[in-house]
Amino acid sequence: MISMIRDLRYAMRTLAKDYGFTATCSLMLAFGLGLVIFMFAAIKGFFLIELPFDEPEQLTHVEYANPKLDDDSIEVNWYDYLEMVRSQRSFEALAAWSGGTINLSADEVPERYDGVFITANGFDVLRVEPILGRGFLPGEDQAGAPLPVLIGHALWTNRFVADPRVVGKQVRVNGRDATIVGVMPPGFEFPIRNQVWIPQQRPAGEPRTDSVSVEVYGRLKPGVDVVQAESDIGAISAQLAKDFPDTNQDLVPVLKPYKDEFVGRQTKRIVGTMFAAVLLVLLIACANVANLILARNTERTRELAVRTALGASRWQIVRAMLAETLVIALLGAGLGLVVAQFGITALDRALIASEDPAPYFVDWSIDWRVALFAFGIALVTGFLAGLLPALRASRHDVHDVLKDAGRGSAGRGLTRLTRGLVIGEIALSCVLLVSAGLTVRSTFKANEVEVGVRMDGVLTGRIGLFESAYPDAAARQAFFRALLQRLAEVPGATQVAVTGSLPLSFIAHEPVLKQGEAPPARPNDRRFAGHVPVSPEFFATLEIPVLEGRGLSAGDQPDSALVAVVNKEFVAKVLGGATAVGSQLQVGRAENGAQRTVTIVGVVGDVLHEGDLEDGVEPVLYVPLAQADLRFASFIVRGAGDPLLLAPAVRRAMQQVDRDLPIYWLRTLEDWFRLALFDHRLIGTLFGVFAGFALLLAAAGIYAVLAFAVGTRTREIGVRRALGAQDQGIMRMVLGQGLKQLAVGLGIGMLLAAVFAQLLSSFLLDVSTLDPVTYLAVLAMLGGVTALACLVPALRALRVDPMEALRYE
Amino acid sequence: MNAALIEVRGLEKSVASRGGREFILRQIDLTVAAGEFVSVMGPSGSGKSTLLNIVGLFDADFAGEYRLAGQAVHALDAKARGDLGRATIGFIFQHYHLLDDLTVAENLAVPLDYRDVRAAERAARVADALDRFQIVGKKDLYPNQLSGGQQQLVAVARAVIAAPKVILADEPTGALHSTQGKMIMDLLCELNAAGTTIVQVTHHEGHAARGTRVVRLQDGWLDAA
Repeated sequence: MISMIRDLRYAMRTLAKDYGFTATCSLMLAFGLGLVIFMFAAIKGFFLIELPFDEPEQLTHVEYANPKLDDDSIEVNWYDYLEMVRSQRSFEALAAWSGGTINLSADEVPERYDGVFITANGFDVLRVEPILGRGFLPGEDQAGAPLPVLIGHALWTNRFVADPRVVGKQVRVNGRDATIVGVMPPGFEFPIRNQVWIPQQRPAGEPRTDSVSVEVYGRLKPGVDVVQAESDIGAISAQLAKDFPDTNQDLVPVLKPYKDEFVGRQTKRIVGTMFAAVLLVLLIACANVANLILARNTERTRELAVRTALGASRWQIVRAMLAETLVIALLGAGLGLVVAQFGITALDRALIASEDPAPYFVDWSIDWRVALFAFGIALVTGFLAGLLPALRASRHDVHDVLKDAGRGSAGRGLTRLTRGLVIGEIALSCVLLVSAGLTVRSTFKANEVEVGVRMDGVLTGRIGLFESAYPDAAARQAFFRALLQRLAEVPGATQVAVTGSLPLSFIAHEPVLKQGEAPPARPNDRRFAGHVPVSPEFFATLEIPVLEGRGLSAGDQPDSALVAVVNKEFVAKVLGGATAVGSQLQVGRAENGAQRTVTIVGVVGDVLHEGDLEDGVEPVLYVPLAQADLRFASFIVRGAGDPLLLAPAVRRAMQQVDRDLPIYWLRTLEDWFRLALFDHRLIGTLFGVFAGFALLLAAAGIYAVLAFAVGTRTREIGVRRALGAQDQGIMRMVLGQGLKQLAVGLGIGMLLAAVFAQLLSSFLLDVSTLDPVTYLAVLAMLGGVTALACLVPALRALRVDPMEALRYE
Repeated sequence: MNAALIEVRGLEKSVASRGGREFILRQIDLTVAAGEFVSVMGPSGSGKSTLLNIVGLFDADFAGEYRLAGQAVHALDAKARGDLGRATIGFIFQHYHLLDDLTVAENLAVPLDYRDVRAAERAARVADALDRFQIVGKKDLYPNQLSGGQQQLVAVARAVIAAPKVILADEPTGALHSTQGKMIMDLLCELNAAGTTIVQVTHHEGHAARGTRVVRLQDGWLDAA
């Protein structure tokens, strides 16, 4: 131990003297280590979640899966939840929540929040209490009970100025009178990043199929494990499937620790693939540093021979060499923490901007775990980068070296090792560049996706009508008519419309049967189509072409025949290409008494909705807004110029219709498109960064090795010149050395890249993992950069003066 | 007659060449008793350095027998040879080969580091060596701040600090001018007088004569033992 400390002290002194070398190596490792530390922080956040609750290991998430539909995450129907609560024996208590819009108004204009509708015992199960006031009481989640509200600490601080008198304050929530009963602790934003909670109050007599789906969680009883609980809930679920085959057939319960709920299969694959990618970058950095150390060690042969002559064993030489790489690696890890922090900050900002943040307790900040990991990975890196050079350095012919007055000699073996490392670097860079190329191509493809509408110049916003203010369909229809009229009067607005579902955002589905078609024996085998109520101006406003028949018109009223317009995909998938206009459909669930006969009056072009980016368009049925009943809808306003300039006037128009109704998600259609592309862009950006680092490192490594090789061959070059070699000959000699390594590295790299790319296949949109354009581009880029890296030393070789070279010795 | 410290019998060293094997040393029989000061002389290419290499345990690829301090070197594995070398041999090189990044005192400590001498004892022995060789004032200087003679002086001090049984010196005055060379030879004679066995390779007849015996190598053969 004392010897190691001595070695470390000597290493630090030696490296401080050779600060250029030290800085170069540390920076190289900092890039690789920084990326690995960044990815570890992400892994820590997602996979090593520590729920901030008492005895978090007892908290279990309950949901359904439908193996026949390959859907492994289905929320639980509210009434199923109630049955579970009644019959289960494994949990101390079960609770549930669902998310939704909460409009909260105190004394001023209401503000919309991503709210949480939670059972009264929801916080008791978590064992979290408000810091002011009280939590929800039993019974407060019953229909008709007075409405209490809990608010988050940030909301209390920002909107209510941390006034302790907020408890008891009368407010309006979704149009209803409510009372703030408590303030939750600082940092508490259960379940995601929420600040407003109200009890889940379901209306009495609500049909089962109309009810909400909820996220269920519970606290296991002592001594009960997840497997036992799953069996318990499984029995309840089996009975529900017997009692309600239409809705519950094929559903199986899935129980898992609550913290595992936020990491799906896709997330695991993405994070795993990225971690593998950054490890490749680190390996490239290690190879670079190893090469630099090998080169430097040739100049230290004399020192090492002296140490051996003075009694140093091979292990002592190796230990001394490893101490130096360890110091470099630790320096690199320190800088790497800074690099990682930049990455974490950028990722945080990007996720918040995407409006899909991770839950509040996902913490990927740099803490003691990340620091410990950084230290550990630095040790491994120091070992990886330093072992081969150290073993190499410890083997030398002592007396020959010392007798020769200390001139080092590279030797054939060293050159072979160096060449091998360079080939490895090129191969690994190839893998990363191909991955980046494929993901970037995928992003470009996503950008080019035909949405099916004209997106520029359109402002959209969403509104939610609440029962208390708009108790029936007639009231809601009247609202939409008034809204359309006001929006049409907005200065600068050329066209306006209302829709239940915007392109590229979520869409509702209804079961659909062709006229005369028998319903399937199993309810789960029903065919569903997108179901979108729209105002008549919808197609014209978004410039969706009407291909056959007509669009929807003002004449399509509640008392006229029920009509619909379908998209091309509907004609192909549902009607099998048969004539659409004039044919009839059965739309809706018969078991709810909601099935109705609808006549197709037109066919329009395909439009992309939620999730379609990867899956392609789906069959969609557009029905007249007047013949549907919407509580949540989006409005569309097309203007001549920048649509965001319409926003103030649009808000005023809304105020004129209902001053208590806030608009949310006020954004352009192009913004929706950007959000839809977020995942693709994020993955493409990250892989691009990894590949950029890899390319930089590989180019630097190849340059350094070749520059050193030219240096050691100065005498040889001088002799060749003296013997008559011309510029082309010298260039061929130097470039040939580098280009040979490039060719071998590329060959190996392309094969490895094709294998690695398979990990990316599920993220790629319309791009093959063997996309020839990508592979050729990578060949050209890596080849070009490497050739440049070879060129500088080659040009330097041309400047070697033969006489100087021959006097070199 | 003192006990033999170095005993070489039938030592041969050859390397592979196009025509078969090329012999560098042939049938060397040499005994160096404890306390002797033996000078090995011969023209370039006679095998002097190769012999010193083998005696110094740097080269284990030889035929014949070699006993050092009673141990059969030819039968030892690499680790055992290393241990024997640390316990027995000190080296002085023609070009001093001090470590440039270490001070004089630190250079002296290096052999002790490799022999696991405790810190306190190490410091004491370094202090003794500095004092003995009268280089206390130079203990914090670096090799590039010393003259050639001073560097070789430090190298001699480094060679003896671990109290080796034998010092091997490869042309210890080869890189020095005459005054410095004399100083070093005086020092070696003092060490020998104090009981240290010395084997030196030299081209200098005068310096060779200062030892107790001269052996001559010619084309790999020993003229006298």
